[in-house]
Amino acid sequence: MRQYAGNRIGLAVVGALLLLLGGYAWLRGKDKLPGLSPRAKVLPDHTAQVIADQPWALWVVALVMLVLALVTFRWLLLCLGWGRRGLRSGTGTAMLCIGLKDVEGLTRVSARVVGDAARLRISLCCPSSADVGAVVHKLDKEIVSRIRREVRDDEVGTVVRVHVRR
Amino acid sequence: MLPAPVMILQTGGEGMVRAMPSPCTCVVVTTLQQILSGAGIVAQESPLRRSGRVLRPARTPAGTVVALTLTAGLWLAAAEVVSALLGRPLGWLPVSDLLDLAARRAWGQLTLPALVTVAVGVMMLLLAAVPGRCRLVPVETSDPLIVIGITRAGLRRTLRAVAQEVDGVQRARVRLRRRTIEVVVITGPESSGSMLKQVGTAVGDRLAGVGALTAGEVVVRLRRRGL
Repeated sequence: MRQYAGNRIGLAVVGALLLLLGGYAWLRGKDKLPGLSPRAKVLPDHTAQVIADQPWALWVVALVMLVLALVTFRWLLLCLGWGRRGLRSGTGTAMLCIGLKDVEGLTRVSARVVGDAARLRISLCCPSSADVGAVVHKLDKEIVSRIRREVRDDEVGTVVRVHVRR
Repeated sequence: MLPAPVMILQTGGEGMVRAMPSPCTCVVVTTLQQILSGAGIVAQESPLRRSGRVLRPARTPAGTVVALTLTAGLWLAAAEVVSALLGRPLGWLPVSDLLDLAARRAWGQLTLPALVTVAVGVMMLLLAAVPGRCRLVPVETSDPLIVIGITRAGLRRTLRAVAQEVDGVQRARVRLRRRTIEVVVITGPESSGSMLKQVGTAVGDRLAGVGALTAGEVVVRLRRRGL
């Protein structure tokens, strides 16, 4: 079981690109690259002329930007929780509440199934007077296993978030 | 911060209770066992490492900012280029100004922007590579497929509640530090030193009960209030 790594991959790719771009510009500006003059323009006239003479090149640029925009839009949706929060499981939540019926003042109890029952996310909030150790022990030994069997089988990875309120 | 209107007559009294074995111990023992007994033992991942892998921060805020910026920038740039090719520039992005700037400036004039770009790139790479502190404190579980985490605020509250249950303790405050858990108890003027031990034991018992895979030492500080 692993944490969602999409953000780290995206940040690494964008960071590496920026590093390469900035490093190239700095080295070029400091005359560290042999054969490339630091006094040359960033966009030489002849390059601009060549691009202007071939409009299909700009269509290709626009297409590439569109594809990249779609990729980054998908990344944005994933960042905002699309496909990662999962669907609330009524049965799982009910089993959780029944299993912890001895705990007074339990709130925000939820069991969510993420993906195609690939992972289970459970969260609950206890009062500070509750014996959190007993709650965790019950979750570990009994309740999570029961919910997993109900949702799919014992091989479902489960992440439980326990909070204690004032 | 201490409660404002109360005078502190004495500050001090510090006790340390070892509540949990250091998480590193398990790793070392496993490695030694492997070395001594050859290749017969399959390497087992420690619970702390396993939980940390699941509970470490997903870098959602940074990812959202970068993804939003890139999405907006790329959509706008693509729309600008296409509209310019069709002969009706939208004018949402100053593409012409940027091209003019690039045509006028030499590489030697871009040292500072290049360094800023490098710095941003390095920052992003660090964000991606550094594991970061878990937002949930991992809890020991019997099943490797179950990862339980308790929020840092939640752990503080449950430890504070158990410290305040000790006789004579008026208030308690808990801080979770990287290597220790600091409990400051505020008592009346007639408190005894044995209270330190009681608080330490109570907090240690609760920590052990929860099974939190956190710092190994509980430091209890006693503060007496005047009348």
